[in-house]
Amino acid sequence: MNTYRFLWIDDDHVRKDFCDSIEAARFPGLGRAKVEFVDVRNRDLTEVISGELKTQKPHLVILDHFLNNAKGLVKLGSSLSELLREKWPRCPIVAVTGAQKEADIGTLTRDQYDEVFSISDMLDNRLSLFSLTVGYRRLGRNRPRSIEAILRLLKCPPEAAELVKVILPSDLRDRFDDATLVRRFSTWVRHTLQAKPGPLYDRKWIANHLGLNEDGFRKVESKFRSAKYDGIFCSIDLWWTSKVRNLLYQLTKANSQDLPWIAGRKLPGVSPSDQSKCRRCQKRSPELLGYSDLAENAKLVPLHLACSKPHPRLNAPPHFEEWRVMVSD
Amino acid sequence: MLRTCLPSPRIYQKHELATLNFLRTSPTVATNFSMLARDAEYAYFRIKNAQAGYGFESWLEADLDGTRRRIFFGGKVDVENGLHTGSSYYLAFGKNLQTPEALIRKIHFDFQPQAGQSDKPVFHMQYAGQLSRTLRDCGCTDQSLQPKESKPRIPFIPVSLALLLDIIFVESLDGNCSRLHNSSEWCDLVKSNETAFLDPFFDRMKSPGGLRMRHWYARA
Repeated sequence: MNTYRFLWIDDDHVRKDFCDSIEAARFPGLGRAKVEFVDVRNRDLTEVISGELKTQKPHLVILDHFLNNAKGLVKLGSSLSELLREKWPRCPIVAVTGAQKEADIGTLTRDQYDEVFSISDMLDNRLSLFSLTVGYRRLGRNRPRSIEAILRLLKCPPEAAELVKVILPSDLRDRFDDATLVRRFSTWVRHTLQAKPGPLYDRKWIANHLGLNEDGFRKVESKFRSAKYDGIFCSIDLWWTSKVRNLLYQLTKANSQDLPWIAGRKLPGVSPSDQSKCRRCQKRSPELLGYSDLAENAKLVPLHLACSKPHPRLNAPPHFEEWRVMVSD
Repeated sequence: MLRTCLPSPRIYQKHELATLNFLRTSPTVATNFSMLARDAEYAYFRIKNAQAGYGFESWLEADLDGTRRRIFFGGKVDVENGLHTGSSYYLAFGKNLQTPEALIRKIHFDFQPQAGQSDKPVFHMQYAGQLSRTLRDCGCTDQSLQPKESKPRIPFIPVSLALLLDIIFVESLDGNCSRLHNSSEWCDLVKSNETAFLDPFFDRMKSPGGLRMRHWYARA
């Protein structure tokens, strides 16, 4: 089993307690971690970093975003990440911050990191730390040099291959000889392909797409095992939607006119209580998930197309699901 | 028999799938006609796994006759025992984007090899006709269409999904439609549909002792 070296730079020594939980974490096939906590409180950050850069490259760096208790000019983890990337361009860098991560870190600053986690969610995100580490390592050892190599890293099924080729950003289609490739690819996979419903759906989306609620989907989940995403940077349950649809229509040959959310309800073992219902009209077969309202913390709920309208602030890239919001009565 | 003008059900399905594949993967379609790309993506594997008949319906918004309107379209192919028993494609036009579902025109293109109570052209075009369930579910209304008054049937040429959509792409002055119409991928697709659906039809017309207009009719 591989043991990865994580470097955690922070000015709050209390956070050292998290290291044990990260070291204790075990995820199948993802190895284990040895976390080195560097307390920079009242220390000159530049000196500390100069020292660390002389050591062997870690597999992952965790940086506190606000380093107000350190000495020296640099007070932000994002500035530090620039220094680290110059020396270690293929090392993932994760930021930790207080509970209000959205308010604390702007989009531009966020882009300096591979991920930003609230310290309160750190333990829940341990799998992400490992999948990021293992993904970067795989990419470092096996740099993709063609679109086909990218598809192999994603373990993309033939059903989805054409779509993925189309949605690949142009800089990932033809700029393979570049030190930033690993980071560009990692960012696109985790922040676009995996994060937005499109070629991949998460559990809530896939259940609704099959006309089911999440409990209902659990009953038929095993039939779609081969559609589950197990490519690079896999840290949450995702399914290749094209493959799911192909399997669905192989399983339910009865009526070729049925849309997925109708056909899914005909899968063996599904009962009426397993079926998804539109949050607005309470009728069956909502085609999509949309936001319940325009509030920042609005939840995604099942909706019919006719019970929803395009979200005024959120835009989806082509080939990804449109963001919609429930129509108010 | 005019039925033989059509490609075999397997080849027919292959052409329709190629069109859907284009619609589901084209960046131009996804960017400008996202609902069409989505519907094509959903339909692709449904039709690929279809055992007998299959259908596809969607819509796009484009400029036509100086007005931006919603254009609904669809197709349904019936196959029984390895034989085509019929097909029907339609185009329906909404009044404008303020009332996109109020239909002002609907045309359908049928292949009906069996005669009904009277003679009818095997391949024909017809005004109006009933709305499909999907159109009704979309909230479309046909008050101004007089759907029951749909005769005469006008003899026409075979239609496929690509040939149907090309009618819109050619006529619309919308830049996105023109871009699609002029793209080499779309041109290749239309050309292969013309070869598969129209060449055999016109060859039959040209051949010595070939079809005449009266042969276009299925006799009662």
